[in-house]
Amino acid sequence: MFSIRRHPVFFVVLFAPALLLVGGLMLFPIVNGIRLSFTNASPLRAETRFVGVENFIYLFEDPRFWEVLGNTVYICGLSTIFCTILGLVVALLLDSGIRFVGFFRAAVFQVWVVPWIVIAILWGWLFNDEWGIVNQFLRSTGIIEGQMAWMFEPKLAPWVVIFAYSWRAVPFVMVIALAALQGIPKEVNEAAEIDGAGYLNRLRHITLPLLQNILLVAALLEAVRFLQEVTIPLVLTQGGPIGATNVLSLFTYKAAFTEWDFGLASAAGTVWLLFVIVFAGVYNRFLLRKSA
Amino acid sequence: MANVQTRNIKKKYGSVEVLHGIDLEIEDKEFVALVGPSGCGKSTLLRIIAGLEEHSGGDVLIGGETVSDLTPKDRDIAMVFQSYALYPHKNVYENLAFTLRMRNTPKGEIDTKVRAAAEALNLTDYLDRAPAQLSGGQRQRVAMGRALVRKPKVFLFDEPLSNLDAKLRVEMRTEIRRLHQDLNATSIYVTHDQVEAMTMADRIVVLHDGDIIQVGKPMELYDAPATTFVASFIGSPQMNLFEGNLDAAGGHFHVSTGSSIRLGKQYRSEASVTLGIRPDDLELDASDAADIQGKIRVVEHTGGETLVFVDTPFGPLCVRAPARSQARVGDITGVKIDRERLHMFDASGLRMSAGGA
Ligand SMILES: Nc1ncnc2c1ncn2[C@@H]1O[C@H](COP(=O)(O)OP(=O)(O)O)[C@@H](O)[C@H]1O
Ligand SMILES: [Mg+2]
Repeated sequence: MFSIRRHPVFFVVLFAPALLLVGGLMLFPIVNGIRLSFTNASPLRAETRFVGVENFIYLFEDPRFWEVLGNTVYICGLSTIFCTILGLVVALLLDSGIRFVGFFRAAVFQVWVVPWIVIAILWGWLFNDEWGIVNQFLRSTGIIEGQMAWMFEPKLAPWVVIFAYSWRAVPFVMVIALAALQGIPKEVNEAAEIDGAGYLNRLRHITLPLLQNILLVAALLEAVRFLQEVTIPLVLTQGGPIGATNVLSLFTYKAAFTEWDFGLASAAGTVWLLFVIVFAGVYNRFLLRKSA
Repeated sequence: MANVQTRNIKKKYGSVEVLHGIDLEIEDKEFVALVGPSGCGKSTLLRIIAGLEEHSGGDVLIGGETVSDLTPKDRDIAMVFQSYALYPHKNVYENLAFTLRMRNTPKGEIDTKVRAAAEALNLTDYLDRAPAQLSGGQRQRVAMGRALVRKPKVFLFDEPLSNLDAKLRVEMRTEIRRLHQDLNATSIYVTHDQVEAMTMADRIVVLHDGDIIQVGKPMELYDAPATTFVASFIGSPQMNLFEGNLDAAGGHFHVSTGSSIRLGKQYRSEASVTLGIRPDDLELDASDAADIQGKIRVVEHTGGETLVFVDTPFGPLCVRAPARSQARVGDITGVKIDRERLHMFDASGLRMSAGGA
């Protein structure tokens, strides 16, 4: 039919707008970012100079940066695991034929529509050490006495961020898992029921294997979202206390817009890019079940 | 013993009742077909027997004991679904083995049983394949295999052949019959295809709008349909049905156009009746002895036989003629009726029996 070989001009004309858009909006920033990471670009400097891998050397020699990488894996990793499990559980509940499914689904999905900044502020109030409802609750049930300084304890603060991340991402996983659940033919579960599988066995041998891929993809998307996320740590903890919630995205943001060191920020961004690419590659290779 | 009984089974979806009190007795080792048009409640009844659907009233008994409170897995049944419902992420072997695994069968025994079932269904070469890599017929066999590895007391089939092509369907009919005989289990087979029901079943249950209309051996239903519904549902091509009335003596049938025919039997006189004649019981007859005259409208050669559609004063009529019939469209022809094989139904559609001579 119409092959690109027989009608090259036609195809180029047809694809040009899309290619320009993709090239301009996606490729250019990436390439430019990588280019900047080899310079000392800064709005405070009149001249930009090529500095080779200096930025990278600086980063990797800075123990703070390793700490940031550790925080990133810890916070984003746990958040991804939690939101996936919670989203799945909510989806399973909604799929189990309870009443008012439509209402609950809409209610849960509301969370998805709330901007991150709102969640950051909301979370700040929830975990406020004096008037926060979390401490209020813990006090009234006698689990703690006095106050838990959630945002000021290096051991606790990451958990506040993890809770916020997970909570925010549950609706996304829920919607995807619910769609996938409803895509499993009813008869397949009925056949398993007749074959002698109770609820837990059906979950283990039928539902979860069938959801595995879609859940892993949802988790990957969420992980990447968390890796990009700046608002919550910035507003909630500013990366503190003592850098305990300083994640790569926030580190990059601060390098660029607090210290105005675009070169260093770009280097961190490039590390980030490599990290995501390698992670997604490994993920794709080893975790996703290949379809027949 | 695995006879299956349903006692006054009722099923409501919301306020709509779709089964109105079904009483069934299915003998041990019997092959019974539930047949009826789409939406008449066949699947619902089967699923109630399986325990997949709750009934709104009545009782289900298997082997003489009520199973209404048992889950599907405790009823010792197996079911073959129309969509096959194979586990897409498991290969054929795992699909077959699943029910045994769930019942804690020892590994060695599972292997023996799975291989035996695969052997019986010609699936041995495909044990490693995923369902997606199988043809429709092979998937159907896996679905059958999954049902029979465990040797349950009762087999339930819900239109298992409707997704196959015509040739495969005919093959599988024989195959399922053969398996039924080998396995010595009770089988309940749901289909909307009366040919399947006629060819496979020991007995046929005809359902219509949530009621049992007639139960009987295939030829009983064919020879003495209880209602006009059964008359038109069983048999292909359909029975010819004409509306009219009987004369005072009950020996002649009149239609509104004024034509009439002598019945050769005596019925009770009825204002409005339906006369039924199967295409098999009609014959093209050019001689003066013909009962009805008409004009040939369509001639269909199916190879083994010829279907001739004739316009008569009684209405359109289908005649089953021999393979190489010379009938031509537009010809005027006579049609002879086998008076021994007439069917008469009263105004409410119920079969009437002939009185004295
Ligand atoms: N889950 C359901 N909810 C409401 N109505 C249903 C449901 N399942 C079946 N029905 C209705 O019950 C009737 C019988 O359905 P079914 O047993 O599937 O018919 P069949 O198998 O004979 O084609 C149909 O009118 C159908 O619309
Ligand atoms: Mg059905």
